[in-house]
Amino acid sequence: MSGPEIEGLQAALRAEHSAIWGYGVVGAAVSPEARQFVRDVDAAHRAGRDELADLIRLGGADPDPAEASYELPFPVVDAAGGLRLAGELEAGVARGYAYAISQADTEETKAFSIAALIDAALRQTSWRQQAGSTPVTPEFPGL
Amino acid sequence: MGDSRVSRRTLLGAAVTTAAAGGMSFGLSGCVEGPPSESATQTQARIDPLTPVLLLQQELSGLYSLVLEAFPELIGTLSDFQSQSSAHTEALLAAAPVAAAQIAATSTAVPSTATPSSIPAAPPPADVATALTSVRQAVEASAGSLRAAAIRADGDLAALLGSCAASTVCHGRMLA
Repeated sequence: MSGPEIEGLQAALRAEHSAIWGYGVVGAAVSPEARQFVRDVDAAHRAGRDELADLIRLGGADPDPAEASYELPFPVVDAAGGLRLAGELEAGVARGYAYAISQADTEETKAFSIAALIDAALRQTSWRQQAGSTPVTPEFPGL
Repeated sequence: MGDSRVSRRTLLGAAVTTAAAGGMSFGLSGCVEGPPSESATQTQARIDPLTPVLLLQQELSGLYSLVLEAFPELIGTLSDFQSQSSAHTEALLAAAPVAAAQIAATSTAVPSTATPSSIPAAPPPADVATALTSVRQAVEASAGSLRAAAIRADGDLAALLGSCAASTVCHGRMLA
Protein backbone atom coordinates (compact mmCIF):
# COMPACT_ATOMS: atom_id res chain seq x y z
CA MET A 1 0.00 0.00 0.00
CA SER A 2 1.53 3.33 -1.06
CA GLY A 3 2.02 6.37 1.13
CA PRO A 4 -0.73 8.38 -0.63
CA GLU A 5 -3.14 5.45 -0.33
CA ILE A 6 -2.45 5.23 3.42
CA GLU A 7 -2.92 8.99 3.78
CA GLY A 8 -6.24 8.78 1.92
CA LEU A 9 -7.46 6.13 4.33
CA GLN A 10 -6.22 8.20 7.27
CA ALA A 11 -8.29 11.14 6.00
CA ALA A 12 -11.37 8.93 5.87
CA LEU A 13 -10.58 7.66 9.36
CA ARG A 14 -10.30 11.21 10.72
CA ALA A 15 -13.68 11.97 9.15
CA GLU A 16 -15.19 8.90 10.84
CA HIS A 17 -13.74 9.98 14.20
CA SER A 18 -15.31 13.39 13.76
CA ALA A 19 -18.68 11.94 12.79
CA ILE A 20 -18.75 9.59 15.78
CA TRP A 21 -18.12 12.54 18.08
CA GLY A 22 -20.70 14.64 16.26
CA TYR A 23 -23.42 12.03 16.47
CA GLY A 24 -23.21 12.35 20.25
CA VAL A 25 -24.40 15.92 19.80
CA VAL A 26 -27.00 14.88 17.23
CA GLY A 27 -28.42 12.20 19.52
CA ALA A 28 -28.93 14.71 22.30
CA ALA A 29 -30.68 17.16 20.00
CA VAL A 30 -33.05 15.13 17.83
CA SER A 31 -36.50 13.86 18.74
CA PRO A 32 -36.83 10.56 20.62
CA GLU A 33 -38.26 8.99 17.46
CA ALA A 34 -35.06 9.74 15.55
CA ARG A 35 -32.70 8.44 18.22
CA GLN A 36 -32.79 4.81 17.13
CA PHE A 37 -31.70 5.88 13.66
CA VAL A 38 -28.92 7.91 15.25
CA ARG A 39 -27.79 4.82 17.16
CA ASP A 40 -27.82 2.74 13.97
CA VAL A 41 -25.84 5.36 12.08
CA ASP A 42 -23.38 5.74 14.95
CA ALA A 43 -22.83 1.97 14.92
CA ALA A 44 -22.20 2.07 11.17
CA HIS A 45 -19.58 4.78 11.61
CA ARG A 46 -17.87 2.85 14.40
CA ALA A 47 -17.73 -0.18 12.13
CA GLY A 48 -16.30 1.97 9.35
CA ARG A 49 -13.71 3.39 11.74
CA ASP A 50 -12.62 -0.08 12.84
CA GLU A 51 -12.40 -1.34 9.27
CA LEU A 52 -10.31 1.65 8.23
CA ALA A 53 -8.00 1.16 11.20
CA ASP A 54 -7.49 -2.48 10.21
CA LEU A 55 -6.73 -1.52 6.61
CA ILE A 56 -4.22 1.09 7.73
CA ARG A 57 -2.48 -1.39 10.03
CA LEU A 58 -2.37 -3.93 7.20
CA GLY A 59 -0.69 -1.22 5.15
CA GLY A 60 2.01 -0.92 7.78
CA ALA A 61 0.97 2.35 9.47
CA ASP A 62 -0.61 3.38 12.75
CA PRO A 63 -4.21 4.64 12.51
CA ASP A 64 -4.64 8.31 13.40
CA PRO A 65 -6.32 8.65 16.80
CA ALA A 66 -9.49 10.61 17.50
CA GLU A 67 -9.28 14.14 18.88
CA ALA A 68 -10.58 14.81 22.37
CA SER A 69 -13.27 17.06 20.89
CA TYR A 70 -14.20 18.73 17.64
CA GLU A 71 -15.50 22.17 16.70
CA LEU A 72 -19.13 22.22 15.60
CA PRO A 73 -19.81 24.02 12.31
CA PHE A 74 -22.68 25.88 13.99
CA PRO A 75 -24.43 25.87 17.40
CA VAL A 76 -26.96 23.05 17.77
CA VAL A 77 -29.82 24.22 19.97
CA ASP A 78 -32.79 22.18 18.79
CA ALA A 79 -33.92 19.11 16.83
CA ALA A 80 -33.74 20.94 13.52
CA GLY A 81 -30.14 21.84 14.24
CA GLY A 82 -29.44 18.22 15.08
CA LEU A 83 -30.79 17.06 11.74
CA ARG A 84 -28.78 19.70 9.94
CA LEU A 85 -25.63 18.72 11.80
CA ALA A 86 -26.21 15.06 10.92
CA GLY A 87 -26.34 16.00 7.25
CA GLU A 88 -23.12 17.99 7.62
CA LEU A 89 -21.40 15.09 9.37
CA GLU A 90 -22.25 12.78 6.48
CA ALA A 91 -21.01 15.38 4.02
CA GLY A 92 -17.71 15.43 5.93
CA VAL A 93 -17.45 11.65 5.88
CA ALA A 94 -18.16 11.68 2.16
CA ARG A 95 -15.28 14.13 1.67
CA GLY A 96 -12.97 11.81 3.56
CA TYR A 97 -13.84 8.85 1.40
CA ALA A 98 -13.74 10.85 -1.85
CA TYR A 99 -10.20 11.85 -0.95
CA ALA A 100 -9.39 8.21 -0.19
CA ILE A 101 -10.66 7.25 -3.65
CA SER A 102 -8.47 9.89 -5.29
CA GLN A 103 -5.39 8.62 -3.47
CA ALA A 104 -6.01 4.90 -3.87
CA ASP A 105 -3.75 2.73 -6.01
CA THR A 106 -5.60 -0.55 -5.64
CA GLU A 107 -9.05 -1.49 -6.87
CA GLU A 108 -9.78 -3.01 -3.45
CA THR A 109 -9.27 0.29 -1.65
CA LYS A 110 -11.23 2.18 -4.30
CA ALA A 111 -14.14 -0.28 -4.09
CA PHE A 112 -14.17 -0.05 -0.29
CA SER A 113 -14.06 3.75 -0.34
CA ILE A 114 -16.70 4.08 -3.05
CA ALA A 115 -19.07 1.84 -1.08
CA ALA A 116 -18.51 3.96 2.01
CA LEU A 117 -19.00 7.18 0.02
CA ILE A 118 -22.31 5.83 -1.28
CA ASP A 119 -23.42 4.92 2.25
CA ALA A 120 -22.57 8.43 3.47
CA ALA A 121 -24.50 10.00 0.59
CA LEU A 122 -27.52 7.81 1.35
CA ARG A 123 -27.44 8.80 5.02
CA GLN A 124 -27.04 12.46 4.06
CA THR A 125 -30.09 12.08 1.83
CA SER A 126 -32.07 10.55 4.67
CA TRP A 127 -31.17 13.37 7.08
CA ARG A 128 -31.96 16.03 4.49
CA GLN A 129 -35.31 14.36 3.85
CA GLN A 130 -36.11 14.38 7.56
CA ALA A 131 -35.05 18.02 7.79
CA GLY A 132 -37.22 18.98 4.82
CA SER A 133 -34.19 20.29 2.91
CA THR A 134 -34.11 20.50 -0.87
CA PRO A 135 -32.71 19.16 -3.02
CA VAL A 136 -32.87 16.03 -0.94
CA THR A 137 -29.98 14.31 -2.69
CA PRO A 138 -26.40 15.65 -2.76
CA GLU A 139 -25.24 16.61 -6.26
CA PHE A 140 -21.52 15.85 -5.82
CA PRO A 141 -21.14 14.13 -2.46
CA GLY A 142 -17.60 14.32 -1.17
CA LEU A 143 -16.39 16.94 -3.65
CA MET B 1 -15.27 1.18 -40.68
CA GLY B 2 -12.49 2.96 -42.38
CA ASP B 3 -12.18 5.91 -40.03
CA SER B 4 -11.83 6.36 -36.31
CA ARG B 5 -15.47 7.12 -35.71
CA VAL B 6 -17.48 4.60 -33.76
CA SER B 7 -21.20 4.24 -34.30
CA ARG B 8 -23.51 5.35 -31.53
CA ARG B 9 -25.15 1.94 -31.75
CA THR B 10 -21.84 0.22 -31.04
CA LEU B 11 -21.10 2.54 -28.15
CA LEU B 12 -24.53 2.08 -26.67
CA GLY B 13 -24.13 -1.66 -27.06
CA ALA B 14 -20.98 -1.43 -24.97
CA ALA B 15 -22.79 0.69 -22.41
CA VAL B 16 -25.66 -1.76 -22.14
CA THR B 17 -23.25 -4.66 -21.84
CA THR B 18 -21.38 -2.83 -19.13
CA ALA B 19 -24.51 -2.02 -17.16
CA ALA B 20 -25.79 -5.57 -17.45
CA ALA B 21 -22.51 -7.04 -16.32
CA GLY B 22 -22.03 -4.48 -13.56
CA GLY B 23 -18.49 -3.94 -14.74
CA MET B 24 -16.40 -2.33 -17.39
CA SER B 25 -16.06 -5.25 -19.79
CA PHE B 26 -14.99 -3.50 -22.92
CA GLY B 27 -13.41 -6.62 -24.33
CA LEU B 28 -16.86 -8.14 -24.73
CA SER B 29 -18.63 -7.95 -28.05
CA GLY B 30 -21.33 -5.60 -26.87
CA CYS B 31 -22.74 -4.62 -30.26
CA VAL B 32 -26.49 -4.73 -30.39
CA GLU B 33 -26.52 -6.14 -33.88
CA GLY B 34 -25.23 -9.51 -34.98
CA PRO B 35 -22.52 -11.82 -33.71
CA PRO B 36 -19.07 -10.58 -32.76
CA SER B 37 -16.61 -9.96 -35.55
CA GLU B 38 -12.96 -9.05 -35.67
CA SER B 39 -13.78 -5.52 -36.77
CA ALA B 40 -16.24 -5.08 -33.93
CA THR B 41 -13.62 -6.22 -31.46
CA GLN B 42 -11.10 -3.83 -32.95
CA THR B 43 -13.65 -1.04 -32.79
CA GLN B 44 -14.35 -1.69 -29.13
CA ALA B 45 -10.64 -1.65 -28.40
CA ARG B 46 -10.60 1.98 -29.57
CA ILE B 47 -13.46 3.02 -27.32
CA ASP B 48 -12.40 5.18 -24.39
CA PRO B 49 -13.49 3.47 -21.16
CA LEU B 50 -15.63 6.46 -20.22
CA THR B 51 -17.46 6.74 -23.52
CA PRO B 52 -20.07 4.06 -22.79
CA VAL B 53 -20.53 5.52 -19.29
CA LEU B 54 -21.22 8.97 -20.71
CA LEU B 55 -23.48 7.55 -23.37
CA LEU B 56 -25.55 5.87 -20.69
CA GLN B 57 -25.73 9.23 -18.91
CA GLN B 58 -27.03 10.81 -22.10
CA GLU B 59 -29.59 8.08 -22.54
CA LEU B 60 -30.78 8.72 -18.99
CA SER B 61 -31.02 12.43 -19.73
CA GLY B 62 -33.12 11.66 -22.80
CA LEU B 63 -35.41 9.44 -20.77
CA TYR B 64 -35.89 12.15 -18.14
CA SER B 65 -36.90 14.59 -20.88
CA LEU B 66 -39.21 12.08 -22.53
CA VAL B 67 -40.95 11.21 -19.27
CA LEU B 68 -41.30 14.79 -18.09
CA GLU B 69 -42.75 15.82 -21.43
CA ALA B 70 -45.30 13.00 -21.30
CA PHE B 71 -46.07 13.35 -17.58
CA PRO B 72 -45.51 16.93 -16.38
CA GLU B 73 -47.01 15.99 -13.02
CA LEU B 74 -43.70 14.23 -12.30
CA ILE B 75 -41.67 17.45 -12.43
CA GLY B 76 -41.73 17.78 -8.65
CA THR B 77 -40.46 14.23 -8.29
CA LEU B 78 -37.85 14.15 -11.02
CA SER B 79 -36.60 17.65 -11.77
CA ASP B 80 -33.90 17.73 -9.08
CA PHE B 81 -32.63 14.32 -10.16
CA GLN B 82 -32.63 15.37 -13.81
CA SER B 83 -30.76 18.55 -12.97
CA GLN B 84 -28.14 16.74 -10.89
CA SER B 85 -27.73 14.04 -13.52
CA SER B 86 -27.10 16.74 -16.13
CA ALA B 87 -24.51 18.30 -13.85
CA HIS B 88 -22.79 14.92 -13.56
CA THR B 89 -22.71 14.56 -17.34
CA GLU B 90 -21.29 18.04 -17.83
CA ALA B 91 -18.58 17.48 -15.24
CA LEU B 92 -17.64 14.12 -16.72
CA LEU B 93 -17.54 15.48 -20.26
CA ALA B 94 -15.15 18.17 -19.08
CA ALA B 95 -13.00 15.65 -17.22
CA ALA B 96 -12.88 13.09 -20.05
CA PRO B 97 -12.04 14.90 -23.30
CA VAL B 98 -11.37 11.74 -25.31
CA ALA B 99 -14.74 10.25 -24.43
CA ALA B 100 -16.41 13.60 -25.05
CA ALA B 101 -14.85 13.74 -28.53
CA GLN B 102 -15.98 10.20 -29.32
CA ILE B 103 -19.54 11.01 -28.32
CA ALA B 104 -19.47 14.23 -30.31
CA ALA B 105 -18.25 12.24 -33.32
CA THR B 106 -21.19 9.86 -33.08
CA SER B 107 -23.57 12.81 -33.02
CA THR B 108 -22.21 14.14 -36.31
CA ALA B 109 -21.59 10.83 -38.08
CA VAL B 110 -23.50 10.31 -41.32
CA PRO B 111 -26.02 7.49 -40.87
CA SER B 112 -25.41 4.39 -42.94
CA THR B 113 -28.33 2.42 -44.34
CA ALA B 114 -26.53 -0.82 -43.54
CA THR B 115 -25.64 0.06 -39.94
CA PRO B 116 -27.83 2.77 -38.43
CA SER B 117 -25.74 5.11 -36.31
CA SER B 118 -28.43 6.22 -33.91
CA ILE B 119 -30.84 4.41 -31.67
CA PRO B 120 -34.48 5.17 -32.61
CA ALA B 121 -36.26 7.27 -30.01
CA ALA B 122 -38.29 5.08 -27.68
CA PRO B 123 -42.01 5.80 -27.31
CA PRO B 124 -43.01 7.43 -24.03
CA PRO B 125 -44.03 5.01 -21.26
CA ALA B 126 -47.74 4.19 -21.15
CA ASP B 127 -48.45 5.52 -17.67
CA VAL B 128 -46.84 7.19 -14.67
CA ALA B 129 -46.01 3.97 -12.89
CA THR B 130 -44.32 2.53 -15.96
CA ALA B 131 -42.47 5.80 -16.50
CA LEU B 132 -41.11 5.85 -12.96
CA THR B 133 -40.05 2.23 -13.23
CA SER B 134 -38.24 2.98 -16.49
CA VAL B 135 -36.46 5.94 -14.96
CA ARG B 136 -35.48 3.99 -11.84
CA GLN B 137 -34.04 1.15 -13.95
CA ALA B 138 -32.09 3.61 -16.09
CA VAL B 139 -30.83 5.39 -12.96
CA GLU B 140 -29.66 2.11 -11.46
CA ALA B 141 -27.90 1.13 -14.69
CA SER B 142 -26.18 4.50 -14.77
CA ALA B 143 -25.14 4.23 -11.13
CA GLY B 144 -23.68 0.78 -11.78
CA SER B 145 -21.64 1.95 -14.74
CA LEU B 146 -20.37 5.04 -12.86
CA ARG B 147 -19.36 2.93 -9.88
CA ALA B 148 -17.53 0.39 -12.04
CA ALA B 149 -15.76 3.18 -13.92
CA ALA B 150 -14.69 4.79 -10.63
CA ILE B 151 -12.99 1.59 -9.55
CA ARG B 152 -11.07 1.42 -12.84
CA ALA B 153 -10.14 5.13 -12.92
CA ASP B 154 -7.44 6.93 -10.97
CA GLY B 155 -6.97 10.15 -9.04
CA ASP B 156 -9.44 13.00 -9.20
CA LEU B 157 -11.35 11.35 -12.05
CA ALA B 158 -11.98 8.31 -9.86
CA ALA B 159 -13.27 10.57 -7.09
CA LEU B 160 -15.55 12.42 -9.52
CA LEU B 161 -16.95 9.18 -10.88
CA GLY B 162 -17.44 7.84 -7.37
CA SER B 163 -19.24 11.01 -6.34
CA CYS B 164 -21.52 10.89 -9.38
CA ALA B 165 -22.21 7.22 -8.64
CA ALA B 166 -23.11 8.02 -5.03
CA SER B 167 -25.48 10.81 -6.05
CA THR B 168 -27.10 8.59 -8.66
CA VAL B 169 -27.55 5.76 -6.16
CA CYS B 170 -29.41 8.28 -3.98
CA HIS B 171 -31.70 9.11 -6.91
CA GLY B 172 -32.46 5.43 -7.33
CA ARG B 173 -33.18 5.03 -3.64
CA MET B 174 -35.63 7.94 -3.70
CA LEU B 175 -37.38 6.41 -6.71
CA ALA B 176 -37.62 2.91 -5.19
